[in-house]
Amino acid sequence: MISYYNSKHPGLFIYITLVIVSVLSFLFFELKELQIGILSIIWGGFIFMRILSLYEVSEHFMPFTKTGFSKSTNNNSSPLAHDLLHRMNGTNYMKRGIFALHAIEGRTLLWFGVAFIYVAYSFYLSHDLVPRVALIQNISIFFIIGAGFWAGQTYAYSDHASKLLLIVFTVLFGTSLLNLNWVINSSYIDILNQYSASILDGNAFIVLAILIFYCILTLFASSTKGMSYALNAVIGSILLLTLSILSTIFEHPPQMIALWISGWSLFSVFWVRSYCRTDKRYVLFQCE
Amino acid sequence: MKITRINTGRHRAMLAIALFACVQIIMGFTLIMGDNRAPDTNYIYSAQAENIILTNVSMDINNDIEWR
Repeated sequence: MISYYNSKHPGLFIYITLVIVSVLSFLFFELKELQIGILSIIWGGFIFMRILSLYEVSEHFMPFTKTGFSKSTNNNSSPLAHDLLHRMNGTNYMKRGIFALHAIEGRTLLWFGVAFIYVAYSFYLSHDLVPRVALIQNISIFFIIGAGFWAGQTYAYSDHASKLLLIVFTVLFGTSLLNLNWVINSSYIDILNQYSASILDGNAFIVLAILIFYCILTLFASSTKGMSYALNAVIGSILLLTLSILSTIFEHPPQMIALWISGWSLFSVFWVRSYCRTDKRYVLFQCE
Repeated sequence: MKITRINTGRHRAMLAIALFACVQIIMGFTLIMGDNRAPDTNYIYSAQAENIILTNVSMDINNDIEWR
């Protein structure tokens, strides 16, 4: 029988491949709606499967139930050792799933809420200016960024997985930075020249600023728990500020989308590790 | 008898994420199907593009006024 949970991090390599493909596609190719649609479907399917796996872990995987494994497969050996080993393995997988469930805590859901308001408001403002397909395309891009951010959190609790994610996403973020179009945004210059509240009226920039402020505030609120939490909070805040400053000052070509996908995916590692308890605890279970 | 605590908050959160994924899939299919009514389908929103559109509109209006 093939068990999904025999994998230490189910779907990790699919996730990394998806981020790499998305970032490189936006970076080096001019994606049309067909390609963005395909990317969106693949991302949506992956997120759906990941949440199903987490649901299964949280609801149906009982480490204390009888396994039935030892008697049916090996009658000659001692059932105790098999049973015990099976339970300990199951407990480990269960524990991984429980750690991964930190990705659906309130602070992440609040992040999604604020991000949804930002997307809805920015498209409410621009729905007369751009065609309907372009609107759906842009919403899909925002959803891909959100999916990358959320799925990264479900793997970042693990030391090995988080190191892998850090290396891959840092390389992608650096590549996106190098290929960025360094042209200063004209609307930013306007804001600097004639700074007044009236310019910011009817601009979704304020909601985005609230989102960034919320992230940084949450990071620093959790940094009081310990040194490693604080370190992750500081690095995450610096990354987030870099990302927001770059996207405010410079133009928004498709390369900026690649920067956002890689940046938010990288940020997810620091976001989880700034509040999630990731140290190992060994528990000895009594056998029936 | 074992009593299992049902975490409804967690269920709702999972449901929200699943809905998010479903909406994303639906949008992907919408993009693949395409929209023939749209005049410009290869268009990615940016503040700069919006400014260009607005500038062109105002230039058209000015030209129109000068011509008249």
